[in-house]
Amino acid sequence: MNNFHALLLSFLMLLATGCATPPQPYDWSAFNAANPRSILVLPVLNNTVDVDAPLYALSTLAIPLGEKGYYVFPVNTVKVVLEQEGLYEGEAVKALGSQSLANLFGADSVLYVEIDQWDAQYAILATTVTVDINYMLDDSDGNRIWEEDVIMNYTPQQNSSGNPLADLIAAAIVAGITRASPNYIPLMQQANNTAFVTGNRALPNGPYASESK
Amino acid sequence: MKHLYRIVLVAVAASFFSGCVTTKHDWGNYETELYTYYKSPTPEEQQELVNELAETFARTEKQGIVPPPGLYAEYGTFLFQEGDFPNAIVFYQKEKNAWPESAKFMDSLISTLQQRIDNQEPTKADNE
Repeated sequence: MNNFHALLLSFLMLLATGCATPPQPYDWSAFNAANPRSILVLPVLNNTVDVDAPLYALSTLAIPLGEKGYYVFPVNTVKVVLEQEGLYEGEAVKALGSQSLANLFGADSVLYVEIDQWDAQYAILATTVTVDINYMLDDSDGNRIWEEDVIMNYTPQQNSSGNPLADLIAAAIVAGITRASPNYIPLMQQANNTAFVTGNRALPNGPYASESK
Repeated sequence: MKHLYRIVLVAVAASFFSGCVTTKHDWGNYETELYTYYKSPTPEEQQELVNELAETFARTEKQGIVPPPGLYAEYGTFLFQEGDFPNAIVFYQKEKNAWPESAKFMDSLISTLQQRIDNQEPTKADNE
């Protein structure tokens, strides 16, 4: 009987910990103190020579954050307003500082997204893509309240994984990274999802998460 | 074969969206349309994005829910860029009413546009 209990317990523990590695504790005190309701998403900064389109990445950020329950400032409107102020480059925008940016738009927090690596090694059988995307969130006083670095190594599998959905996502990514007309969206969506929703430092829910609007 | 693949894709996508994952907001095709507009910023692509936003508003307003954060303002900005300042103000006001977090930003856009309208009118009258 005792043996059975021990077995059951160890099985339950296995179930609870599952295949995922236990999350590392993250200090949420700065985030909780700021308790942001709104997020100003700034134009994505590109620190690589590989991606010629940080602008495309901007189109993927509003939905995951809005779905987390935050007020997300209209990304294209923000971009247009910054451009009217003569700020066309992510670097020039960043130089303004989080405090002035938050004040200019009346935002509780400011999100910087930087693409640090985006390498595609094209081969006949399997193309490998390595991406490194940095997410940094500052409060309206300029304090860093959250950050996450998502590094993904992606090699499309030739064989079916047995999971049709996984295969379809893989197929979309494979199709997306073709040299002729690269589509950065599927990989960017996956990185966003890791950073905001499924990762060890997934953002807490925003104020509208439980409220129907 | 290609056809079959498409059918499977649609079926899986449909089950994906109707099944365990439900979205909080009705975004329509905002992300795809914004992406294609950025990829080729032509008047045609811009019009497709604007139409998509209008369809989202029609859908959500019919259901008595507000559209997702930012979308009224995005629409207002296209009106602004076309020079339709009075209607741009209407949509910035809608954004402000729907999402109080946007109030400061919307107020500053509205007052900028109002100033332009006020400055425009005497010029027009002078020319006549």
